[in-house]
Amino acid sequence: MNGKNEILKAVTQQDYKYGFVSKFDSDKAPVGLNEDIIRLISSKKKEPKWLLDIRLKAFKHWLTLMDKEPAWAHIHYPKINFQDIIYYAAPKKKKELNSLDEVDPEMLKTFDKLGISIEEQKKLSGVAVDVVIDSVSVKTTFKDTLAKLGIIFCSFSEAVQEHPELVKKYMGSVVPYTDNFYAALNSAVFTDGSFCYIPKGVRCPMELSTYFRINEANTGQFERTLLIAEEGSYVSYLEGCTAPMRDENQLHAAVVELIAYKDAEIKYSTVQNWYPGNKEGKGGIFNFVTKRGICKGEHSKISWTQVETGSAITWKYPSVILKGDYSVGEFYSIALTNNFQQADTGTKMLHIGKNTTSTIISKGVSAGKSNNSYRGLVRISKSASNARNFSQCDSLLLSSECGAHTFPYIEINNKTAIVEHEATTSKVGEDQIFYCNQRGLDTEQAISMIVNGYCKEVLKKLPMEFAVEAQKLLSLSLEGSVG
Amino acid sequence: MATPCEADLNNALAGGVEQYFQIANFEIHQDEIFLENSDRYIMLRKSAIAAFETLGIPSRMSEEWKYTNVAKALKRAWVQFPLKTEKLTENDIRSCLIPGLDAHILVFLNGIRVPFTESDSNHEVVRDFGEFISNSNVSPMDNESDAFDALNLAFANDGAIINIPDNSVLDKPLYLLYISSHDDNLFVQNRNVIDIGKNSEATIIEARISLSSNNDFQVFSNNVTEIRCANNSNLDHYQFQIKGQSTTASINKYLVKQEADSTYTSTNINLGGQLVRNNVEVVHEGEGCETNLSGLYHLISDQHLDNHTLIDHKMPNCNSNELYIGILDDHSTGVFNGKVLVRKDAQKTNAFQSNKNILLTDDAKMNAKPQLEIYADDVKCSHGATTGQMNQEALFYLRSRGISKKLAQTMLMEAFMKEVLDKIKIEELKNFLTNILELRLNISH
Repeated sequence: MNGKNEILKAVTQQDYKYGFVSKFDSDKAPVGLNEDIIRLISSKKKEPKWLLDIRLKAFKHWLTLMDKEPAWAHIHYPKINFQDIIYYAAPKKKKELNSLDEVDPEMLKTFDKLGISIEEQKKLSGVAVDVVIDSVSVKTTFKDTLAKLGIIFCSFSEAVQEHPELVKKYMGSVVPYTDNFYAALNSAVFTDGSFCYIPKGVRCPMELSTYFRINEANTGQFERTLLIAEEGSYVSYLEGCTAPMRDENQLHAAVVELIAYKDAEIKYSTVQNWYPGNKEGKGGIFNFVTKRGICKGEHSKISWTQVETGSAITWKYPSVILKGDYSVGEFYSIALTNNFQQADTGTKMLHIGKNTTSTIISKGVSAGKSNNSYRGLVRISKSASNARNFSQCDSLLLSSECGAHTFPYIEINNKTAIVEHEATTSKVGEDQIFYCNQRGLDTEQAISMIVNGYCKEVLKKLPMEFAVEAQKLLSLSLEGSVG
Repeated sequence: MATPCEADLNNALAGGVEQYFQIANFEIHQDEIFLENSDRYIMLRKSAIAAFETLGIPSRMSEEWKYTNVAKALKRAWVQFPLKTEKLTENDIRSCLIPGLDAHILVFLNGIRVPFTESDSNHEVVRDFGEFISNSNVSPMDNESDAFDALNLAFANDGAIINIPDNSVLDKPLYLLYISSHDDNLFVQNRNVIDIGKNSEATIIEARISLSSNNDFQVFSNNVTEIRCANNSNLDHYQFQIKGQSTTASINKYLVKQEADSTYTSTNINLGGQLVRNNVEVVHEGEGCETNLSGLYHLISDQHLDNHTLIDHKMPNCNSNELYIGILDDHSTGVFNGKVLVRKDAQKTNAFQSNKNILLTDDAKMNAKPQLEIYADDVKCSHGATTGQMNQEALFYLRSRGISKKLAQTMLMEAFMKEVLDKIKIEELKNFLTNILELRLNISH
């Protein structure tokens, strides 16, 4: 079993490879949060008054929640001082940019390090990328190509300027600022994010992608993503996240809203690799994210796929409101926690329409001294006749000091519902390792294979480019010990 | 005429969620009510009152009571210790017996033990309540405890104290019969202690039966049963509740401590009661324990049943199995909240849990919350929860063979429930409950 221990050691001791800090000038707001800061953010972004009003309303609501920070999740962390955070930090814009040549070379270097060389992406893989650094969108590629099809893919701030009617109509319609503590905070202080609109009947010809990066120290990142798929449209959207290594904890509180009309399909994939903190559990990102989609029309479909390997704390429940008849919700998740990481993640499937179906596949892998929880809700409303849900939540334990937990909530109010939930927890089976050993694979390869096989069901749901990255992320540590 | 203590209780309960239990007069009246109590027990009761005052009646905001509104059920003027003693005829009691079952019988009427002519109620395994509690090692209640447990400790003044000595096998099942018959709103609290000695074996059957036909009044019973299974002992524990669909509410807490190599098997059949909450907490304090919990429920009209289980795997090499099955009809609501906690040292744990439900109407509700909390790696744990309707293909199969729809449905429901009924090892009890169930299924469908 020596080899196995090495692997586990390697998993526990893997270094974070995105921990660089880019040195570009940035424009920061003073530390702290009050109405003036919100006005400052709003004026910096040249926002219309209605948006400032929403921000202020959200802030007022947030103040009433001050002592109601959610505490129900299976996570422990020091109390966050919300007055100790910089709520706005933008890479300084020197002038308007027209081509990549004009972009700050330091920034281009950042992209390279992130492994998302924009040019390369543009030419080779045909993925349209929106890069958000410290919550300000710095680059959107392929915008013109998409515009020809009527697709709007731009930063949130741009959308506010150019498509205010759409933003006004949809922002907060799925996640209102009253939804929860972090949604209220985000609604008050969000600085940028991505906006995407797919018109009726358009099938988006390429993957849309956003990279989020926190760069400045002491800043929080609060971005908002709004994605609207009109009748009969299709879009696949990817999201990736990284952050530098710092000793203090940084806060990330995002809101993602998806709206799918009749026959529309949205596929939303996330590879979350925020800095998880060091081996002693110091530093790392606190990731408190509210993600929710609504299947408004008949036969609409929203599918969430996530690979969560980063963040010191993950608090995230991508949900689907299945309002339209025959709508479909899916949630595929891999959550890997290491060292002192804590993840409390899952989904909510709210069945309202008739003949709605949902599938939940959650794979948790815990190593080191981490804790990994699945928390999910499946609610079949009285109106949701013939609803169908299947949930499977598996946990794999790689060390004797970690924890794996499952907290599903199942609420059935209609007799025609068929709901199944199953969960298992176990370690890598010795018989499975033995089987592989017998066939000439060493223990390292065997464990790598078993972990990968265990996650396969979810990995195969990712778009190809991401699947490769995700697989690398998962097996990086395992490979490290081979040879 | 309510006694001062009753007034206090009503004060406390009437306030519902917001107003906490106020028992300002408790100290003044304690002597009148608990005359025979020792100093230690009075101290315990005081600690319990203090704990309850802090905890208050749990509201639905509390995670453990998310799906059960107990405060609503408590909003009545309760009488705790009825002045007028009800009389039971021998026939009344006989109607509550299990046909053909030879058992030791203990009868409690409205929470107070009453003699039963044929029973050997002075059987050597039964201890006196007051004497035992005074000398027992019940620990004082603190603010961490459960509000209803505290309330029970504060007021309970009778219960079954069973002590099976080491190295002995109880010759026949012990049948604990709790009968309620009342023309008042009655609040009953029993505290039972079941102690199974080393290498010993016993079978205990608990039945809660309401004989009241007056739907204007309710009986609310808040019971706590502490169970200890010593090394290598084996307790087979059955509980069933029939009748009283609109007249009884109960909270039954079972605190089970298992020592090494002991086996605790509990089978709970629930058909009666308007609001029933079963809390089963099992702690493994030694290696090699085995715990089997099963439950069966068939709910009609506006019945509400909440089965809460917690299995605390503290030690290595223990197994637990849970199976809860139910059919929900009319406006009924079912809740299943099962938690398996595997602590860091509990390696080689096997824990399995399953909850299956059938909803018969669109007004019936089922809320399930199966949970796993695992801190050890060398374990095998799983849970499954399903909710659905009757298998349409199976129904069609039966119909195509000339079986009427009603009969086909009844057959499928019986088959569904059989999984738990088959776990009943006492033939007489199994037949008795099967008959009641069949009758019930035929009436309701």
